Amino acid sequence: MMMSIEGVVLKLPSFSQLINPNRTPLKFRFNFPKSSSSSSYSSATASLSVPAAAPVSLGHSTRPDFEILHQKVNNGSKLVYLDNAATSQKPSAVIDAVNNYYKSYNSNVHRGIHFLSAKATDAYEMARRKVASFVNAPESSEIVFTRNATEAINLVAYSWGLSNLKAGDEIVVTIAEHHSSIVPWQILSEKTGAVLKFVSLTEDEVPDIKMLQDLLSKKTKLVAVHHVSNVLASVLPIKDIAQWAHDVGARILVDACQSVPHMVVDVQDLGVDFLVASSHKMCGPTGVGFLYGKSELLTAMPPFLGGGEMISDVFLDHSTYAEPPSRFEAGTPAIGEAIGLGTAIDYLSQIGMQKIHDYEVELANYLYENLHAIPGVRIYGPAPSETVHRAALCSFNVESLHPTDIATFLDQQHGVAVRSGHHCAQPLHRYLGINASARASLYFYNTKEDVDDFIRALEDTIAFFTSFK
Amino acid sequence: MGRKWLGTWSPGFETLPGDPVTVIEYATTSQFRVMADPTCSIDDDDTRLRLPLFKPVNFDILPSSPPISISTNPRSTISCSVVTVTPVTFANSKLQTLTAEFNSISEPIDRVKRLIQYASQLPQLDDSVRVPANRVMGCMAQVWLDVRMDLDEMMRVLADSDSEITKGFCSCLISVLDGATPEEVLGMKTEDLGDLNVAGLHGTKVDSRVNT
Repeated sequence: MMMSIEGVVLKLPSFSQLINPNRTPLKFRFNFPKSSSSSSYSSATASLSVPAAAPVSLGHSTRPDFEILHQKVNNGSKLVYLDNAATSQKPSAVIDAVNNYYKSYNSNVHRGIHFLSAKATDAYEMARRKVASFVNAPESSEIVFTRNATEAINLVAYSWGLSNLKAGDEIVVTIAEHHSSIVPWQILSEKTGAVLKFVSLTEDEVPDIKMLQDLLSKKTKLVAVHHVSNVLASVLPIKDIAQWAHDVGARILVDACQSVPHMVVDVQDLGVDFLVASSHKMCGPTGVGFLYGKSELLTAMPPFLGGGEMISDVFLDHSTYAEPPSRFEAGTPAIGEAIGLGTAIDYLSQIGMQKIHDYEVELANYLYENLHAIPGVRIYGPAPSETVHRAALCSFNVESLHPTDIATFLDQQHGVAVRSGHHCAQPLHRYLGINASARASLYFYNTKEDVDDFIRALEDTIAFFTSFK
Repeated sequence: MGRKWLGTWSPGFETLPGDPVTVIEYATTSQFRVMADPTCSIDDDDTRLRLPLFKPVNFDILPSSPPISISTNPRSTISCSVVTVTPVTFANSKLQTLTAEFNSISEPIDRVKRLIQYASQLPQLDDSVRVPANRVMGCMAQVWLDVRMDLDEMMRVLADSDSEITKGFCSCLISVLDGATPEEVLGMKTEDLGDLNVAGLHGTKVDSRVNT
């Protein structure tokens, strides 16, 4: 496995202690020649005997944990993975946790009393508690495991939506929402006669908060918004929006897919009613995601899917249902994957979400500045400033080049993986007047060198296609 | 074995042992296909067949034609016996030529360059053709396709795209289909055209869906 740590390479106890020297004192062991009094040097704190090491960025210190990043693709270029908004890579700890589950204690949960089943159930419920703690939910029973965020939103649409909305009620969303937070509400509107209202963008290409406020009324029953936009890289003031929604008697659902992996998200502080996220965007396995829902809401909601696990008693002509969260977890869940998500949360927590966020703000600015400097490049979303922090992603177009051509060439000739298309946001692209865009999205294991590689590769790509014109 | 369709074959042309040609499938019916396989060569003592590298002519085969044995280089001997063969069409042969051309380009970047050269050969499409009714839906790039039948009952195809690479593929498609008979076009399947994709970029099929 390739180690790409800058600075002085010493035998390190663990990466997290290196990047957080203030947390615990660093202990190093040196091998000295016999002539020295080696006993007095057998352990030392960093301040005494370690030569000043160059500061190691979070990207460099965590990269060794991600084996998949150390490979060559296509024509022998090293992989530069910049498609993290689509899915994240998994550290060895998460992969090992899932493997270990299947190797040592795979068993169905909540159903048996034997040793393996008890162990699996404990680990699964422990994962639920980890998720609850990660988003600061007051109770772990407010966390429902789903297949992913899309399923979680559908759960709310079908379960809460169908029993709470009627003709004439309004649902407010932005035009920048991911399809998963547009289509379920469209289906819900068709079924109930509710009306969908869309908030468009300001000139700065962020959702128009003033317009959102104006759209809210007594008719509004639900506000469904993203926390961080996967295209615009903008961040919405969720705490304020939640307050305004509650002021008119509406509920708020937040799509936190692009925020939970990258920053501190506190559902109590934000005051949201529902929040969804996917494991695979936050270093966890695919196949699991979660819905946070306030206790009193979940308790009143009818089931979504019917089957085992979500029942209390089953008779021939009717059944009674379990309490949340089980009520919404029909069938055998993705047990190993949920446990993997728990391990991902441990991994992220050990680094610290604030630290991850701070590093990504730095990367975001570096990416934006360098990309913006290339002639003919148009980046979507707000420009970064003192007050406006962008997420570490840029959706962009290059004058007279198709994003698919760009992405194809970047991949084939330079091993750079970006996404091209509309990133599950067709209404947004239509509003911006474009058919598609390319998107580079970073995560904490990316480095400034990754950004440099991408910029160089993009310049080469532009030069290549321009040469034909 | 990598077999590539090059054209039909006519007897009477000679080639020397060691020349890269020769795997033959033929049928009892009138036509057969000649495949080119650079790993094949003709044995010294195989005098019954001498083949050209590439000669696009038609050939009639007699029912009494014997099976031909060709040795591959150096591993096994292939005995080609009578097999059925799909009808050889003009469009098919153009497609095989195209596939062979791309497969002969070893560097991926050169294949992209060739594709863009094909793109530049496309005439600029009139705005009246670049309309939603002519859009090929489901593709990430915008593709406009205009297909008509001309007075000689041949298919005439016009296409354009906002992506250079996709435009290149369109150009390739047109080079195969433009001027073909309706029957030939109907006779082609998507899988046949899949060879174009394989030959295009890095040897794997590239899908960029719009339904995400």
